[in-house]
Amino acid sequence: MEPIEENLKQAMNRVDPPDGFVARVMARVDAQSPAASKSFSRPASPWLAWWKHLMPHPVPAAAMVLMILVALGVGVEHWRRPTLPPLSEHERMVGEKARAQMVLALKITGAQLSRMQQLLSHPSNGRVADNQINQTGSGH
Amino acid sequence: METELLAAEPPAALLERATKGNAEAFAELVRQHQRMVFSIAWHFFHDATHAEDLAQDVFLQLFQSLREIRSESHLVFWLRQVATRKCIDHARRLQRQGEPPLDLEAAALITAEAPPADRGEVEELRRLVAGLPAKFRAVVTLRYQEDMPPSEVARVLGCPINSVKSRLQRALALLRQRMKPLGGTDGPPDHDAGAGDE
Repeated sequence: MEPIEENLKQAMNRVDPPDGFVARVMARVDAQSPAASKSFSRPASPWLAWWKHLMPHPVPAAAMVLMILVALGVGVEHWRRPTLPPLSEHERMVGEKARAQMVLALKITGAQLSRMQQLLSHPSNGRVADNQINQTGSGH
Repeated sequence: METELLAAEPPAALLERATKGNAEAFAELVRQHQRMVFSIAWHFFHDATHAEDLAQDVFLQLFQSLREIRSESHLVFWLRQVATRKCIDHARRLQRQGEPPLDLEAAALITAEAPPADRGEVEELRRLVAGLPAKFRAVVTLRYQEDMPPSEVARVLGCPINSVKSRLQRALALLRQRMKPLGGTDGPPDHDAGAGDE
């Protein structure tokens, strides 16, 4: 080792911090997180200790909890939703026909509503509109 | 009495108790390592105020990171690494702010422990180290204060060993050059600042 390195080793020896350093550090620890400093002296819950003993590592513990939750969710959903039997061809055709009739009824109703709106928006044709309404109301 | 008991406790047990939340155990950890951490910061800045602030920050961060510490040796490694990184970051911040780097009065109080005949040269060397670029200061402090081989210094700093050796060589060259007018150490050009390692 060269002389300058020897001198450096001598010059850069460890030195003591000013008195009270530890107390000041602990004061900052307490000031920063009072909850954490309280937990310093509070004993851990026995259940938490048991869990931590069973699952020392957080990643597999989290994975297991997730799997349990997914399994529970699937089970609840399966129990809640009843299983429906598949439709027969006849039932399917009846359903299609009913759907077509409903669409036609909605179209007719829509047309009638549109006509009434036109009549109401032209008050000068009020009598004619009344007659037409009467006819519409009694028509069929 | 209690402090003596804590000081005599095996490091692994002390660390475990501190991790579980024992305040006395954590305070004992601080007590055992305060000298090392404070010295790294002090030699970096040659300023007691900066050094204490940084050292406190290091232990505050340790308190928050206790669960990551696996052993006593890991604790020492962690403290050195965090202390050095904080010093480098703080030095850069000071440089950006344009603050004067040295507090010579405070430095003189701490230098008082050196033998009277050596105080001048020792003090001058410390002052010169504190005036080096931050990355050079880091390698010099870890190498000569902590007596770490360049391979360990590289591990702490997270850089290649060749970078550490290069920085050491350049740091020593700078120190030699700056100490010449004082009649200080003027050895032959350094060819291997990593002597004694690997």
